[in-house]
Amino acid sequence: MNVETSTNQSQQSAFMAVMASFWFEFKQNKGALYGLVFISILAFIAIFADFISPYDPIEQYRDALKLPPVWAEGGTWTHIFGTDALGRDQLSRMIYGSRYSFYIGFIVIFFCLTIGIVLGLIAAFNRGFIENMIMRLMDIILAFPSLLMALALVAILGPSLENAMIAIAVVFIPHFVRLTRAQALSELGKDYVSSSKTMGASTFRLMFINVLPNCMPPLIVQATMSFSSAILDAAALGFLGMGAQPPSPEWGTMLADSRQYILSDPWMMGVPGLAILFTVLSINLIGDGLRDALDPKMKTAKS
Amino acid sequence: MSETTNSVANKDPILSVVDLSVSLPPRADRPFAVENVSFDVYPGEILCIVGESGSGKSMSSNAVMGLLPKPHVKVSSGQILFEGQDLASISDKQMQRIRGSKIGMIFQEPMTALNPVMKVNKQLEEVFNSHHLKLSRKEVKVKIIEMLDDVGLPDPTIIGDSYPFELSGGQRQRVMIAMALALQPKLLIADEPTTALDVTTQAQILKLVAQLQEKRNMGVIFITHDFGVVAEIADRVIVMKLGKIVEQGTAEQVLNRPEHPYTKKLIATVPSLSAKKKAPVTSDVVVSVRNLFKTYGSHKKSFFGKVGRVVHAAKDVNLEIRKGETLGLVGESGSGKSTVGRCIIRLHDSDSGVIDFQGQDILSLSQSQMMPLRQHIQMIFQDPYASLNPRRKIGDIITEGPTIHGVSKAESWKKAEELLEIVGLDKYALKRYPHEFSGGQRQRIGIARALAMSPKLLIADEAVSALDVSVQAQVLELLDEIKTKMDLAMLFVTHDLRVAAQVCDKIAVMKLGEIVEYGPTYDVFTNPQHEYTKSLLEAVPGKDWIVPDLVFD
Repeated sequence: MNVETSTNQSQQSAFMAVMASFWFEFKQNKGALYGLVFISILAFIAIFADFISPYDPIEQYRDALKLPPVWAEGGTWTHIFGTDALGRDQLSRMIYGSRYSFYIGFIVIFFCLTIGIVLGLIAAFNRGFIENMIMRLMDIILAFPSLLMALALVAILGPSLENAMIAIAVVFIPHFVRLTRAQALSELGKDYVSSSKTMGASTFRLMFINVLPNCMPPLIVQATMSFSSAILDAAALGFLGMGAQPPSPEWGTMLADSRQYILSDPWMMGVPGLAILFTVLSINLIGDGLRDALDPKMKTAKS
Repeated sequence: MSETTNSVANKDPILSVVDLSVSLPPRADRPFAVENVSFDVYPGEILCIVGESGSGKSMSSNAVMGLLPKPHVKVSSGQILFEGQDLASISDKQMQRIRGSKIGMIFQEPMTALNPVMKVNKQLEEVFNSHHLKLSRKEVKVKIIEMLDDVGLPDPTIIGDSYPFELSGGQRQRVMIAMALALQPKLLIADEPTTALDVTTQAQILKLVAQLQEKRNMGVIFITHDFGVVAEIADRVIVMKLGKIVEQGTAEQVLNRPEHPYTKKLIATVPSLSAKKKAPVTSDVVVSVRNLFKTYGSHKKSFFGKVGRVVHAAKDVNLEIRKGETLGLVGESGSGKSTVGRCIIRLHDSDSGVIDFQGQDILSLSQSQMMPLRQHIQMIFQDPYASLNPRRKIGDIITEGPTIHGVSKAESWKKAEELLEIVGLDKYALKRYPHEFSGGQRQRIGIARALAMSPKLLIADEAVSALDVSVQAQVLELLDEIKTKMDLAMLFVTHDLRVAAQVCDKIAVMKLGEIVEYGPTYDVFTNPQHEYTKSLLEAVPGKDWIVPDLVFD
């Protein structure tokens, strides 16, 4: 019998090869690479904020109110990004603020992924009544403008950063449920699932061991994209006074605090505004790169 | 094999391919898709290019059509001479003029080759419009009707006014042919045009191609992997292997007196259509199916008041399989043959009937009562790419079943090693992922997975249909070996009558959910009773070609 020859490469190198090809694909997208660099730097800053930050973010320097940044007229090197209306150092607030952004992003994505995957899989495995209940509920959530819905939820729960995150997660979950269900349904039609069924595999086993790993690539992409939306929405809620509460140096709250000085001291809003812009942009670029690398069939599709 | 063969020699070829090489990108598994290939096509002949998947047969025709996936794959040397022009060196613009008007092409998938949102008329009109012929709308209309009539479509006006999804696969392929031939090309390239079709439709399309070719004195390049099809229509044959031509000659020579060892090997693996007389199996009955009914769709009105369409996938099906016996369930697509297999293994719920498995009615059992029986009935699936979980290691895939049924990890792992040896793979395969294996190897893994449960009944659902012919022969041999060694009952679901003739003891022919003929293989093949069985056997390509007994040196 003609037994095809097998190369005796070890498992380790097979894994390395997969990662190498992933990296090769990802690298093709220059935007994604820049995004990754920016986010890596930001992550470094967030982790080592205590060591990097020149001042305490909530300490008020009464003798230096509304100081402009160093490049503007009258700026000093003591407060590089200037100070706000209460004399707090903007640079330190920005540095500590990055922590909030990651915190919001990770917590929201964690809830979205776990709840979204579980509901999506349940819907896919129980076609009919249960599926209809879950999916219609998701449709209802989607029918509300997302920020309005989040606002309403925060109004009920009370304004705080934690409640804002819960509200944002609730608003994002339907996307994850839909994506998981659609992926799982297409996988369920494949014969490897039939085969497991003929072995007598339990539904739980089919869901989490057989089907779920094959649904992950688009979910990872969706999670990345939602990470940035979560930061954006949290900033919006903060700006409206419904998110992080003063004096926490959250970027959205900082925007809200400096709103009244937009004409006289535009840089006070400019600094956190640009930080949000670049963070969200970078994460979205990474998301694009991930999609190209993980999910070639979605390359031309819109997000 | 027609008499034109001898007369071609004194005509000028319409197409000559000289020393053509097509290079692949640097990281491909070989440097050239096609290497130093030369052949001629004469007017009024059908040239078949045969080879297994990856042999470069489609690449050579795509090179002629200028359809190579540039810039990664391109013609690196050689000439493609057509009407005094070298197609390998002309611009894309010039190529566009030749494509469609001078050289027509038809593809394997009639579903994807037609635009789904455009009526047939419109698509045919496009062909005329894109080549700037000075024709009035009226003339075009008349032409279109004529063309559709030419390819044997019954009501050209009605067909012209339909969307592709309203047509059957055969009709779609006819529309494709009409489109390809609209501008009276001198050369037609057909890339596996019948592979996706049922056997009776395939026979009709092959006949049509041969007819049109004769009528218009065209040259035809017909690409196929099926030696039956070659025997049916070829005048001359080219055999390709890994991008090189290994043998070239008249159909009669290549099919009956092949020279090259590779051709010999390929032809030797073509299953013969003549069944051998076998002694009836008289051992215990393992499974017997009585009055099985299964319908898809429902009679109930939907929310919007539409009445669902009901399809009978199984209508009063009766059959039984004994220990050590192989029952072939044959039929065309949509006949319900796969459904019956999946009902027996309880992947589908049946509407009514009895499936008696060693004295127990499977259909009356609940899912949990079914559990202990699960290991006795196992299945091998058609698509080796979809039937193995791409994210799990082979070892995990094979041992999944036994672990569910309480066998310890170490024990099932050890058994998996033995099984891999039985199916002809080495034990290192256990630690690797499915994508590292070829189609044939994956099918072996699928078999090992089924055997890991030590089943009594094995259902092979088109288990060899997706494989190349030489691999198919090996897998069939393996299945037969296993069946005899383990004394299994086997339900062999297939659309391929050649394969059925070789492996099955008994045959059940299905049509629209009903078994129309049921009997020992030899009787069914030599003396078919039902009209449908007769038409199926009549439609097998190359049925008159007796596969030669080859002597290997």
